[in-house]
Amino acid sequence: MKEKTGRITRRTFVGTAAGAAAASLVGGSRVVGGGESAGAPSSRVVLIRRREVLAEDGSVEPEVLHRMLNEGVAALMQSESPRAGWKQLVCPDDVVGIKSNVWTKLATPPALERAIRKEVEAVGVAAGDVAVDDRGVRSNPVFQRATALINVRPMRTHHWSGLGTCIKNVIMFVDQPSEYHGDACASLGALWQLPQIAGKVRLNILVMLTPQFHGVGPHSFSKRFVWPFCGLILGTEPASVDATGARIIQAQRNLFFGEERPISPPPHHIEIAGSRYGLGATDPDNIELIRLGDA
Amino acid sequence: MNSKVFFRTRPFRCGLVGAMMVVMACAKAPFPADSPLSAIGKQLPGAVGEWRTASRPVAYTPETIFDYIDGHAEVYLAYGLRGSIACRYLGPEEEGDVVLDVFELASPEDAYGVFTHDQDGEDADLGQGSLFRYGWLSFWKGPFFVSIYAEGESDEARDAVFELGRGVAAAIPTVGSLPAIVALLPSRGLEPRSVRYFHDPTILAAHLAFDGAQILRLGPDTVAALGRYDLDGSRAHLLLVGYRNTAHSESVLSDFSELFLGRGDEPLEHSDGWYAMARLPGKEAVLAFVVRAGSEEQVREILGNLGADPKGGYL
Repeated sequence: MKEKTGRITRRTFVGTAAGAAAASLVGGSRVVGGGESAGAPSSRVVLIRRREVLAEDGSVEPEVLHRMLNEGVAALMQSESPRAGWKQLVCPDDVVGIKSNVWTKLATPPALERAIRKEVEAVGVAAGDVAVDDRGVRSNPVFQRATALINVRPMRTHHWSGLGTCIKNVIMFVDQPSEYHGDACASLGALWQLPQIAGKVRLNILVMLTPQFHGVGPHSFSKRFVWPFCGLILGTEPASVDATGARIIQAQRNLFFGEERPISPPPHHIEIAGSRYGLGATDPDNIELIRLGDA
Repeated sequence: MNSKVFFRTRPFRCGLVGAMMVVMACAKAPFPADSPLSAIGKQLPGAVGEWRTASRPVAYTPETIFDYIDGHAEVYLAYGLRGSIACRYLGPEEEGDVVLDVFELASPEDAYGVFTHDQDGEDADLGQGSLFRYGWLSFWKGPFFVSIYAEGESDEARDAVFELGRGVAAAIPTVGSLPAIVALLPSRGLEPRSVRYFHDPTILAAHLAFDGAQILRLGPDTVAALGRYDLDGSRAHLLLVGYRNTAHSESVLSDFSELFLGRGDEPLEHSDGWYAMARLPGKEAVLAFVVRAGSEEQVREILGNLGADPKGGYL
């Protein structure tokens, strides 16, 4: 079954090519091909792109997406197979919360949620010990006893934080998210020190199938400002994942507007999460970027 | 969803927008039937061009606005949101919808403040100030901020947006004044589209984030105007804040001096530029803060222009 994400026209496919140019901005990172080692970087990030993950009508191809997920996990964990990679991430006795994102305009694709759940269960985790949730995480019994979290969300511009990131995606674990809005959400990294999160997030997945690079109006969304990038970014350290995604978003903004158009407000919570809260390298020189597929 | 549909419809003719209009009658209204927002709702057209209302307008209160707007509602709440109505117009085949949102804020000044939150676009000559960009028309008039967004990109969709905008603007009977503090921004070097009006520190952070901004003690009892200046190719930000009394402003002045000026009152250079502060001539409860200026000369010129405009400043 396909899931609709918006119609893809010939023009937006041209946009995918622009996205490829955008992705070239991440070339500043230490880039290696699939499975190749690049010394001892402080953070490893996988960028995988498959144009065929989106059908012409914009719907998600679940099987392609599942394969992308598994390719990415194998590359990230430097394992011989996806299953071996998943086994490094979760154990059969883990209780796993899959922290998703339900923002109606650009939600985590259900096909991706299902694929993650399937792989987690295939490792041996009991079905009753796996849950997918977003706004209900604080009252979800599985999340309340979770020993492991998998953090997955689409990337988009965000009114208060500049970007909606993996770092920010755990904000639903607190009672008053708006308390973190000050100074362009600079202190979001502090969320990751909360006991319900600290040390539990095994994998971060930034969904870049149709990322949003600009927002207008009260609802902060326009189909004009998403494009079929057809990618996923995976990593164990959220700041490294988000920093990589942020460079792609910035590049696409520059391409679209024909001038340098900084993300506003500046998503400095990413750099701060890395430098102050130890959530991963954000300087591309300190990120080992593994490109797969069309990336 | 806790929002309440509060209008019923029946068609009638309205020559103003040249389209079928509908009268919206109150049902379970969260606002009094004779409230300004209800009155506007009753005059909404049932169709603009080939776009027709999908359902009756839906009303939201400050308590239910999060049911409708996810992630941006704080902007309206920061300007004293009293209520809003939303109406979706379904487009014809191969066209996207047109979405209308009308927000009633605490005052005309606050409606202007919401309008200044995003100043991209071209002047659309509607209401008391308007902009159009990427299918989105926004304007303010009286205490109302109006947003009309076309999901499609055709000329017909654009025409529908403007037709609807003209109709809504005509349905708002009042006009308001611009915030007095905005008029105090010196005009020389000011980039007009950079002007913002607000009360809330979160709004400031969306436009100008700098370490220590919390000592400004912005809040519902303060008014603030922000402008960016380009003087001889060098940029700076000027923030004017009106406090409730001199005692309030004096304590902020003292804290700013300690944090940014080495406990003095002269401009001081930081790693991200020059910082300075001053009292406005003749207005002791209004403080001026220069942030991230390119040079000391620029700081002194901006401060020297405070109160020096023969016509009063920006406005």
